[in-house]
Amino acid sequence: MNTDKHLQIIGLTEIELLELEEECVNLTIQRSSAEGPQQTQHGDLGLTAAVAIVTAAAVQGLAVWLAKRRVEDIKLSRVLFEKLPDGTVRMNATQLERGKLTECPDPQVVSALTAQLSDLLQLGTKS
Amino acid sequence: MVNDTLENSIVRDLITADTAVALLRPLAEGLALFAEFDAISRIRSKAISPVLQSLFQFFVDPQRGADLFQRLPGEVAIAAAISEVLYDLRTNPATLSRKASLLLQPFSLHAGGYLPGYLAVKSLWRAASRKHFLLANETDSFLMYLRSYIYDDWGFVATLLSQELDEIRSAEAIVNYLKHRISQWEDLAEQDFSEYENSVAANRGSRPSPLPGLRVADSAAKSGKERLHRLTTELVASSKADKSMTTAIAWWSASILQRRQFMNLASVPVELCEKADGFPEVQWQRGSIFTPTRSDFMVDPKDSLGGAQLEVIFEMREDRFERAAVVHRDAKVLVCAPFGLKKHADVTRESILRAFLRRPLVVEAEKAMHVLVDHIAGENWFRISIDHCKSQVDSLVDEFFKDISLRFARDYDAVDNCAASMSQKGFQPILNRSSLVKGLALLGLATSLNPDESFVEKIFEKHALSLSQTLNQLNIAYESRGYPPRVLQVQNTLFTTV
Repeated sequence: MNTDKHLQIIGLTEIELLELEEECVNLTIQRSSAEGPQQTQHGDLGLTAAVAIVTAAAVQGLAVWLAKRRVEDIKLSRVLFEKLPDGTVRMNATQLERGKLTECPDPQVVSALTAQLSDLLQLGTKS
Repeated sequence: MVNDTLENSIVRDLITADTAVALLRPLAEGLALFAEFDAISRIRSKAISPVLQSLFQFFVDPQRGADLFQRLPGEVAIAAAISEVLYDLRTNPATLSRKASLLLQPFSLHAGGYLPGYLAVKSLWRAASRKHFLLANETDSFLMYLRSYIYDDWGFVATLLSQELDEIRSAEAIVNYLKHRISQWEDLAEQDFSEYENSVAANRGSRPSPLPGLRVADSAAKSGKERLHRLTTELVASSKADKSMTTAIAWWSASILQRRQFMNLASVPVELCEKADGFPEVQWQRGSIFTPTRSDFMVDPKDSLGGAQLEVIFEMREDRFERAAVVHRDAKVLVCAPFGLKKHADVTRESILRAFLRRPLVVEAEKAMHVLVDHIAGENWFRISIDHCKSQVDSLVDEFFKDISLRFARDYDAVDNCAASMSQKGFQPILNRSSLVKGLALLGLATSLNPDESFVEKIFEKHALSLSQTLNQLNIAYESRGYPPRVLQVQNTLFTTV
């Protein structure tokens, strides 16, 4: 059975997308033309959108990536994710902290985010 | 059914317009990005650009501005205030992320042309700095000069309005003209820049035409002016003929030939809600934005209640800038609230309302023009002819930008190889790591503020990046790929082309 789940990510800058690819090697990331803040017609550089294929093995890497960007407050992290009516889980990266990264994120934050993402994506925690 | 001559002239006009946009859009984006990431005015500049003028007027904290003016002579205070705002902007992580993301844009004209346009402007800046060393630091003066060199060039006007009937030759003439103009950039001398700057400083709010120092031949300027005058006269005559849509289109075309006076900074749907005490307030996403005063209402405040559209308008009047919030429902203006000095409010309101009165006609004419062009271009033979011309024009424009943007690559092979490898993901295939992309972006941002190595080093530390590592890895990239150009280190000063 294929247990890979798709996570739609909107509001990333190109450099954040590259950092995500570098830091989460288990994720397969595809640029998408999905709705969300896109390059506008008015001459702005805009943000990009992507779809990440998340496996149970990759979910923790993604949680670390998020926690490094100061998703320390779990209440805030709940606003980051949204379950759409068709079951797709969407992450809005515009709400991430773009300042200094937290190099050693709090393990409790990482495990809370891992649990939350696994639950939303209906992933088993065992890889 | 349109006749042959008319068909040809429509195809010619479409191709001419497409070619001009294909060439000018990346340059316009490049100039805008240079203004955001690089331009700064220092005490030695005789004039400052409208961009930095408006930055000073709108973004300097009034308290801080007053404090600087008390302690320093006027021009020094202005330069210091601008530097402080730019320091905050360019050392901000969001700006670093934005510039690093720009460097990851495709080196292609099909993706907005941001990267080729920005790199073209930076290359021209480097070339200009070699001729007139002051421009290495007076980046705002360079920005003004380059903008005028392209957009105040009557010779370019003459080429755009040439009577050439063949569409491909017309497109080639435009590309060749700009190519020739850019190759002339090499011949510019310190005197050209000085003449231009002196003229801009002496004529604030008005512009002598042609501006001195731009190296436009008198005959070309004369021809450009004559052709534009002929076209304007023709359009104005058509716009007065009757009240048909042709008239409206002619009027619209005439209006776009004039320099734009207004800019629309924001447009959002809002709600005018009743308040127990006082006038209705303007709400956006259920939050209050502002409460207009009595004189801001253009209708009875009771009649303004309900959904409407808010637009923030920026107006450039003489050498002054004004802003106003305009709330309208369709063509009817409900509120016009100018910001800024009270003594200018009535004139600003009057000027904006005049523009809004003409707006429905402009919008209708613009739509009609698009429908007409889409309809004609949708016809089979037109499409084939246009597509054929466009593919030829695209390759001419691609070559044009490759030559300028990557001019400081090591050699021709490096130009070709880098253009190919950067076509999809910009600098990523050359620099590989996100940290190096960020380092390259930060190098440009920091040196724009102060090229002193110890200053740059501190900015790098603030972003948890290493300057020495970045310089080292950039050298390795140059050795293996021939691009980006070497960072010049003279004594304790750094000079980067990206």
